[in-house]
Amino acid sequence: MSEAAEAARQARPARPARPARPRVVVVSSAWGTNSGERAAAIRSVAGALALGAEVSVVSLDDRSKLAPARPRHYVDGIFSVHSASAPPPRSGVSTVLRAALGRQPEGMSTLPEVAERGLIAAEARPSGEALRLLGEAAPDVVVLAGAETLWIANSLPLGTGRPRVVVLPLRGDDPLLASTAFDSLGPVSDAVGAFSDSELALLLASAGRAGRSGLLHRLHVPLPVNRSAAEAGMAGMASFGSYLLLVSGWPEDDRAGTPLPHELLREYAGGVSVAEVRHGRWVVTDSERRHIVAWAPSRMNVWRLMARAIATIDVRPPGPIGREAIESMLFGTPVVVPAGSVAAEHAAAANGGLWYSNPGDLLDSVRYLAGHERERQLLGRSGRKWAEDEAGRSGRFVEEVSRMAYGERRTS
Amino acid sequence: MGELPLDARQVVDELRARRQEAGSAPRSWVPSQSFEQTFEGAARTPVGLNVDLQWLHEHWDLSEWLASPPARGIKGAARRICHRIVLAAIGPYLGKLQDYLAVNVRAVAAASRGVDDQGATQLRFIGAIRHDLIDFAHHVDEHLGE
Repeated sequence: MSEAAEAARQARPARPARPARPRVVVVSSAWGTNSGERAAAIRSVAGALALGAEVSVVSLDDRSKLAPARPRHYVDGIFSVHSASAPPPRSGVSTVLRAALGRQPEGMSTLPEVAERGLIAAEARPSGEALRLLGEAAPDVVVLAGAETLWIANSLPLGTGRPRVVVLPLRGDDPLLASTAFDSLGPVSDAVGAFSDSELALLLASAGRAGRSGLLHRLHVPLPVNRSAAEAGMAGMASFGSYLLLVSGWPEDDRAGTPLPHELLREYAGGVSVAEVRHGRWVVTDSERRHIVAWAPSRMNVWRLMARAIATIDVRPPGPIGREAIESMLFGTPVVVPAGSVAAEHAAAANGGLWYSNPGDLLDSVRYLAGHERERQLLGRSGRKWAEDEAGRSGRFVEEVSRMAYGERRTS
Repeated sequence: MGELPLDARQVVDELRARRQEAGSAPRSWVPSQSFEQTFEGAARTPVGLNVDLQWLHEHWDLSEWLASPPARGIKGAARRICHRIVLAAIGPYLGKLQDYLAVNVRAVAAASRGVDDQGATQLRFIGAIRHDLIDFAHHVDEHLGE
């Protein structure tokens, strides 16, 4: 190198060192094995954080049930995933306890605290390996996604080295969120995220008692859909004619809806066809026959069905986000969803669908939508406008997640 | 002028009020009166009328084929001698084969009768249960609507 060039290089101002990206660990259970709305929400949060941080995932897995070839550490897109052994949740205990508690006449808020704590403990998946992985990762922020991971908030060591702890209960409109058992989250967490107004209101009840209402954050998860491709349709879709879309179970969904006879729906809806998504099977009933359509149970195929349906009827137990309701409204298709669910909250806010408290309500709603074309179109347009505003703003979601993960100081 | 937006809450309330006024709408799953009608009324061929089974019934008996040849004259005598020689050698095996075919056909026929009986009983049960469910649902709705 010539002396002149060397002098010029030394004369250049030194490039400022890039600030180190914060390290974030997302703790979830059974990462990558489910494509339901819980998994979609967790992936959305992790993806938003990955824009400005090094994000890794600790997945609580029942490794005895995973394929033997499933490695302990692997890369899933932009995330490095560490699989930690954790016992499966005691779902049997949880179901029995919840059924017993649900029979209390005055609601769960009057239940003894020990019962509520027992219910949360039954769903927890404690894992020493997960704690060890967290210690090795030395993260700046730990995101605990799902009630089964909340035990970590109490297990992380206190002191100056403690990472910022962000909690996402993901329990939707579960009244347990308002119980005294959730009061204990206040002192051990730095932020709590809610994906719906009803979840926020329930959390507010417990956080208010603990005097930590300020740690609550409302998140509006974006659910992008490939609308142009779905609206273009696909071979075979038009042959269904005019149809209702019935969602009774997604393939990996542990939520299963009550089976609803297609004949009954067809009688009430004036003889239109019924296309049902039933745990990976696509059961279609038209005027002549019932057949099972052999399609891959991909999200794109659900969208194609949504785009042309009279209405999307969800008969599954309520979820924490109301994903299918939002997606259906994004296609301008009104929804019929369970009353009191997050999906019903969306339908009411959007004027984009109807909700039912009992089977009679459901059938009346279906008959109304099938028989009132103008009103159906109004609901569809209104729902679409709301959904585009609520679920189409990725930038706002990134800001919300950043504010929740790092606190107000970082985002201001 | 733009269209007035529809209030979903109002629609839900109206539908609910209308049904409460009518008092006869279902509050539970009412089995459809045409539920599985195609199943119940479907033309079902009994297994006993299966063409292969019928063929078995018609052809299981080999005695005509094993009988002594009826021809006369020298040729006929020669054939009968051959027939006796052959039967002397493989007669026991052919007898066993005949027994086996007869028992086999009887067993298949018994099984097909059992299947047909089972199918008929099932259809009767389905019909009875369906009618009972419809009656019960109407009964419950009438009392809830009072």
